[in-house]
Amino acid sequence: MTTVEPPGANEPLDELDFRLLAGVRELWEDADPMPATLVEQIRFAIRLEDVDLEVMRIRDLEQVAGARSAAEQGRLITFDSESLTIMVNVSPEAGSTIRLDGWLTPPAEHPIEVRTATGPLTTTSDAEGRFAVCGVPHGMVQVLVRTVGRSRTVSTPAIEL
Amino acid sequence: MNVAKTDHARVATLFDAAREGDRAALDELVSLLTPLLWQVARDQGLDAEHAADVVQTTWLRLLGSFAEIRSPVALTGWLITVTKREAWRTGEKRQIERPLPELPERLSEASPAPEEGVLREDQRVRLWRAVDNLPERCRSLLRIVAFVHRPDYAEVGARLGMPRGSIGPTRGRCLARLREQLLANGEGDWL
Repeated sequence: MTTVEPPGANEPLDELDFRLLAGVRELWEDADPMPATLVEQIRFAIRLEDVDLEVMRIRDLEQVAGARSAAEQGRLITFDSESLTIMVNVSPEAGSTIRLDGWLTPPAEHPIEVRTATGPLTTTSDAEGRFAVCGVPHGMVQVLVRTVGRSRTVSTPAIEL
Repeated sequence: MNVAKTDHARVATLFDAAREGDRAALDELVSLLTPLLWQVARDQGLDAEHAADVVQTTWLRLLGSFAEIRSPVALTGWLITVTKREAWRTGEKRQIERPLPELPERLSEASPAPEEGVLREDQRVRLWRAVDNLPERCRSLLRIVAFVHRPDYAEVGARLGMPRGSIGPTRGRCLARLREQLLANGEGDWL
């Protein structure tokens, strides 16, 4: 699309321009506000000793929209990265905690760390790639797989369970 | 004139500290730059949940890439590029033609803090209408540029793939169009 430049396009920015940009920001903040918990969630996720991470992407199999915090019903979440897939089944336990049953593909024995709001819970996957962690508190949860034989730690994003 | 809320000098200080491994500095960078990345992800047409995931993933990826990033301006550019790439990789169906969201009533209107915003109510309505009348690419550019500080303008325009409409030392096509609308019809009560 070739159009004539609107008047003033080549003039330097002035005070009105900065006011307009500040106004545009204010309007977008009102019209499309960032979730209030997003910054806290990111801070939780990046508070890691590992910096060389393989970051997994969420591929939800069930209950895609609006069910992120519905651990009550039990749900299956799948995470993918270049080298690994993790399926995690989330189910409620008595005592208002949750249980995670995970399955790594390709299957292998790896140290697993489940980061929670109250501290890490650790286990190891078995030769079939299966692992289970009980007593996980509700709130932010992030799964790390410290893959044996490789330097990079595989991490899921933090999710609210 | 320093209207933008993201303080570039502060980002520069935090950038150096965070690269050295200062976690408090990194946390503050997250507070300062996540609002920008949220708008980038949403402008890619993602729903709120996917946008939040994408922004978080971008920050996690930064942990391993910090050493390659040379300057605070490059950091802003890197974060925008990775957010866009991650948004694209989600493979979510994205709306191509997106109407501008409705402008909500300002929540603080009833509270005793009328000085909080930079706009009066009539200015809000007129500015939003002017934004609505812009071509889509200009609307996107201004949406993102409005969340960065001046030294980042040129970099941001390049990262968004539209250097020609961009804002830099000069106003650029998109901002000139916005001004043109607001100053037309004797509606120029902006100063």
